[in-house]
Amino acid sequence: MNRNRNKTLIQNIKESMGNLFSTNPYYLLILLALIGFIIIIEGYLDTFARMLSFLVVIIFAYGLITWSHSSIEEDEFWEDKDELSEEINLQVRDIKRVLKLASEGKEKSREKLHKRIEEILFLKLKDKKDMSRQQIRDLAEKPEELQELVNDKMISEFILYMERSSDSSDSNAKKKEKENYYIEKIEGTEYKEYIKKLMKRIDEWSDD
Amino acid sequence: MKIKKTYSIWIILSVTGIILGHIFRSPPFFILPVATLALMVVSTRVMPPKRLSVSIDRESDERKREIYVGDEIEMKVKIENNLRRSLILEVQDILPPMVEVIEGSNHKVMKFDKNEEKVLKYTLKCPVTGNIELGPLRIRYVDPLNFFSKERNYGDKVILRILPRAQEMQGVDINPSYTKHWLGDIKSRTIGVGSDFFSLREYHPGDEIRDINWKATARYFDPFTNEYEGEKSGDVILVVDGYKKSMVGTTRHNTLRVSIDAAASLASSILSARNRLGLIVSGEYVNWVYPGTGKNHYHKILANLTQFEKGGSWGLEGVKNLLEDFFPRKSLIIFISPLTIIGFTETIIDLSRKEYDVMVISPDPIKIEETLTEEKDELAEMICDIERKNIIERLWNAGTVVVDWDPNEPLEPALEEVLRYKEKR
Repeated sequence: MNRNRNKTLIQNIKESMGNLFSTNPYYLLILLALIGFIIIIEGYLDTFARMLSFLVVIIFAYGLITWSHSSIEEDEFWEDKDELSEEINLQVRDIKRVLKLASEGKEKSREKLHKRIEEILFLKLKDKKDMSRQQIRDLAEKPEELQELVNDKMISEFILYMERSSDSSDSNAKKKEKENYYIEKIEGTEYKEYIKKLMKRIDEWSDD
Repeated sequence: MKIKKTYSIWIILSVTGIILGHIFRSPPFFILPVATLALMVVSTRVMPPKRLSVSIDRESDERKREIYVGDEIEMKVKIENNLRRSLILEVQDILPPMVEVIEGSNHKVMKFDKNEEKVLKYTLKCPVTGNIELGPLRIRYVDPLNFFSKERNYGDKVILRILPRAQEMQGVDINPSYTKHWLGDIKSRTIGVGSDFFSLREYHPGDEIRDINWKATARYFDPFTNEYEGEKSGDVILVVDGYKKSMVGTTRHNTLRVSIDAAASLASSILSARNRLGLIVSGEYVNWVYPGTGKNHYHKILANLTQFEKGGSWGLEGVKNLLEDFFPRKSLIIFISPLTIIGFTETIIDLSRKEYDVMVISPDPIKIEETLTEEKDELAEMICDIERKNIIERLWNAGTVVVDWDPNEPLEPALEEVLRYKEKR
């Protein structure tokens, strides 16, 4: 009990000393003492004492610089942010970018673009022929029947090409078959022209 | 407390001066460091106080406030310096990005004498709907020599609700095909309670005197009574597509924001025709309001619409299940969706094949995008156009009424045109 009380007392003294050492007059005192110390030493002491004072200055400088560096923090500039112009999901821009990459022959972009066109096409077939995606896929196994149903060579060729592309088997025969399609061979403006023509055909296509 | 880099540089300079003075034994080298050290000693006198004792008071006890989009509101924050010394403080009331300060400033440098009170006053308006958070108040003390700084946030956040403003849509009658037995504005083409003359019949005991047709009575020498066309109402459910991928545009002007504004206008028009109105918004979560009527209900609808400035991950499939399980059958469902997801088409068609009357109001995302991009790409635009055209065509062919709306124009004319076409069809 007594020991605890003593401990508390010591702690109290330490805390009050600590507070004393962190006060502004304390720093003021230290700085004034240092300045006086330097002036006195410079004027009256011999070489050894001057060396000693030099060492003291170095130690003091080191302490001061370390202290100031430890809590250096630059203030941020307060400003109101403008996030209202942030653009979200711009579709035309996205397609434009994908188109550019696809026309350069980038495989992933081509895949993305072709998938989107395929979705449009499937929706059209669903609307006009009431055919589900699976039915169209099944029909792709019989190219003649597909050609007869769609009645447009370019569109049916695109469906067949997409079917070959979605085939996950790595067989060389399938790969070669895919490479034979015209869309696989073209790049640049020719590719863009092909896509444009295909889109027009899809747009104009009807079951009549 | 933060110490600035300049303070550290001053220390290094003065120490370097002392060392050089030591080496060269030159008085000018001592004068400079002594001067700088003196400056630094002076600076310790203007160090930030241990505690920035400031009290603030927003000039309103209400924690929540409401204004309509575009309205102005004056904000006043009283700041009092509780210290026994004067202070120069940088004060900023933190505002969300969508807010515009139109008068005064939310960011000022203010000098406070001891125990002085000052007011930070500014007027703001918000161009978009939603719940916005104002505050806390950020206060920073910087000493005159710019060596030290201290900052702290004061006060709580205040929520300001920005409600959508309804556009006048007097020329538009959105009437459900299926009416219920309660009174409304929809002509039922049957005899009932209403104000428009429907037919004549012989007087029956119990008929009100005011319903007697005196001209017919005089002509036929028998009492005749007027019959009126019954006016009924129905249930309308607004469904706002808040799916994140459906949001196209900028944070300020996008398909979700225009959908919310359209929903507010439609809600006002539908409720004023004495229909019951429900709401479903699929955003971060599916939020719904069961059909009801009246001013309070309208306010409830607006309050629910303001919670969705960000899109979420709920697609229309979840909405469809909610509609089927909890909402009354034979309602008119108005989907407000930019129709950017092809998969949503079949969900809408599925609903229209059940006992619902379905209408789609679709703000055109390409039109919003057109206002943002200067460089046009014909092919990219063509792909997007054909995709949208196909979706709309599919919906029309499946019996759903679709309003293809350019969000840069008012909704009323587009809606009016489609409703006229629907009537003719």
